[in-house]
Amino acid sequence: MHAIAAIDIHKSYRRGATVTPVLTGVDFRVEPGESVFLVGPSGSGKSTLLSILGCLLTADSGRLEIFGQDVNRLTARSRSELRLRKIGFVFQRFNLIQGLTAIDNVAVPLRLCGWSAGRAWRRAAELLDAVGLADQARARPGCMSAGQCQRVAIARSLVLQPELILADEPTASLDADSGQEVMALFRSLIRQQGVTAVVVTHDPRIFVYADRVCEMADGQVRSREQPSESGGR
Amino acid sequence: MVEFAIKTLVADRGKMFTALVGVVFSIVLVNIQGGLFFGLIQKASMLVDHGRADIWVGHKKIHNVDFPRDIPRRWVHRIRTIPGVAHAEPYVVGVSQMTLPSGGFEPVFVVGVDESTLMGNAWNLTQGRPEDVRKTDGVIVDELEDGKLDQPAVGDLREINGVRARVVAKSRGVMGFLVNPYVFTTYSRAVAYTGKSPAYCSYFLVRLQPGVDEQAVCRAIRSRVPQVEAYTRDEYSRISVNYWMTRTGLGISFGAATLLGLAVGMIVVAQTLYALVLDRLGEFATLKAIGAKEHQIVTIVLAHAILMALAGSVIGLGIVALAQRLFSSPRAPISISAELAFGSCILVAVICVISAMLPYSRIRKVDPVMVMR
Ligand SMILES: Nc1ncnc2c1ncn2[C@@H]1O[C@H](COP(=O)(O)OP(=O)(O)OP(=O)(O)O)[C@@H](O)[C@H]1O
Ligand SMILES: [Mg+2]
Repeated sequence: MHAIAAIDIHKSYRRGATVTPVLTGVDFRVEPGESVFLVGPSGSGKSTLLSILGCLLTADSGRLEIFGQDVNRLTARSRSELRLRKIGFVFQRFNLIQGLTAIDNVAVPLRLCGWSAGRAWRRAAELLDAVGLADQARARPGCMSAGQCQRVAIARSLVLQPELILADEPTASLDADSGQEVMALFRSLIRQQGVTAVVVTHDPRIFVYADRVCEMADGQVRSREQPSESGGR
Repeated sequence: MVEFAIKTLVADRGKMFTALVGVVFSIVLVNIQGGLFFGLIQKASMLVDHGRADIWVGHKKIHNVDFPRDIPRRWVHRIRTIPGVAHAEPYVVGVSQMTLPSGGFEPVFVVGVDESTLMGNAWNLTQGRPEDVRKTDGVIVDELEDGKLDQPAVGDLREINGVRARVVAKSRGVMGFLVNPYVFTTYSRAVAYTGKSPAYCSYFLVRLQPGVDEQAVCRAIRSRVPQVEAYTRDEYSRISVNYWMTRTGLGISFGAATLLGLAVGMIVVAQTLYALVLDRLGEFATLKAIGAKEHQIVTIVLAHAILMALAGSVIGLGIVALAQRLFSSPRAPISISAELAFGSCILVAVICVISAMLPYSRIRKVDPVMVMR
């Protein structure tokens, strides 16, 4: 079984009479535990594909299985259930809740799952510790650096031990150094937990953290050969 | 989710404060307006409420305690024979004019009480005793009406309908709905002051023996004396209040002013809740993207509204209590019942919840895919 099996995915956007085809027959498979990076020019449809993989958007046609589950057959409610329990998201702009402290932000998925406050806090504290922010538990996103915010977001994405992580340009809002740092941390955490990851990025310097790099062009996904500089740091 | 709502709300102090101001404003407005209204309208039934009679018997068509129609006094004997009646006495309420030392005059309501029982006499006396009304030419007036009656001191003389009247005691806050002062005296003098025939009176005030069913006695009175109507104290109090309520449009004008204020307060709340949500639309999209269910989102929005209502109600009622202490006076009493206070909180909470539906409809439309853009 593949972690992700997307077969012949089509998607176009309609605005009035104009139809913009974005994905024209994407075939994309990811093995369990694999980290696949998705690159490509701006507007090539990377975010669109990631949204479809994350069950945030439905394809016009094609077949999508996430861990063997046919996504097209799910109701909206089971999709959101799937996102909550099986998929972790990391966004370019972190998307933390401004009014909540770091630890509360990490605890959000747990609370959505119905965990008690105390249990959620203990688990969230573990994750904050794992991303090296145990001392920032009470800080709000407004008082943290971009790198710290993204580490909180990574902790949040992993807190429910998802099977799949989808990250859309996780380093784009970070400077080069903290980008490297965050990716190294991200990589080691998903390795530890054996999580499958799909990471959209523009940043060639972080390709070293990928098992495989795929390129999007002309509405399709093509595998690139293994990154030349071999293996993680 | 409620905890989440509290934390996000408190984090945005500016907006929370604005919304609170809206809620507090509404609560204060409803209670003060309502309190003034009930304070004013309750003056219409003061004689009944404080009269210590269990049953008021009057002309068949009586509709207001201040405007009775004469009934033959001799009917009282028939009422006294009804089982359960402890005693029944004639009572006079009538209009007359008091001549003032300055040469001016003042229309007054003369109230004549039974000399032996003093039922329906003035209350809350600050000078003199209730039984002083039995003294020769004795009348009791209210000290808050001093201005209208040329500052009468106890012992001073006035003239009512050409008959001598001597102020023997003074009350505080015994004022009717109308501007005319009440002058309490005995039945026999009241007849003289109002120029009525002593064969007539305005009411029979009835006291019952303990444990007797009021309604049963009312029915018995009506059948024994078919020309009269008999009401319990509460009934006649309500009837007197309704008289002004329905004939003056007082309820409508107070009510409209209150509703208008309420609307303003609630627009502030709705607008703030909406702004709060608009600012956070992205965060709601994030919540949806990471798997929040619709009911969890609803809970957050509702919790915001109810929290605002709760906090605002507590603060608002505190301010109301303070304002009532400071500003309530016998002339303009602010009478806030538990029902009014509690009802206003419920009303405001309901409106808060309704006004939260506007921002919620906005959140509903948010597509979580926006987090990827
Ligand atoms: N909601 C939408 N309506 C219409 N067109 C859209 C919509 N979302 C995306 N597009 C178009 O689809 C194309 C692909 O968008 P997408 O965001 O997937 O690209 P991307 O590869 O993620 O680009 P970038 O690297 O800039 O993030 C773009 O041409 C974009 O203009
Ligand atoms: Mg993109």
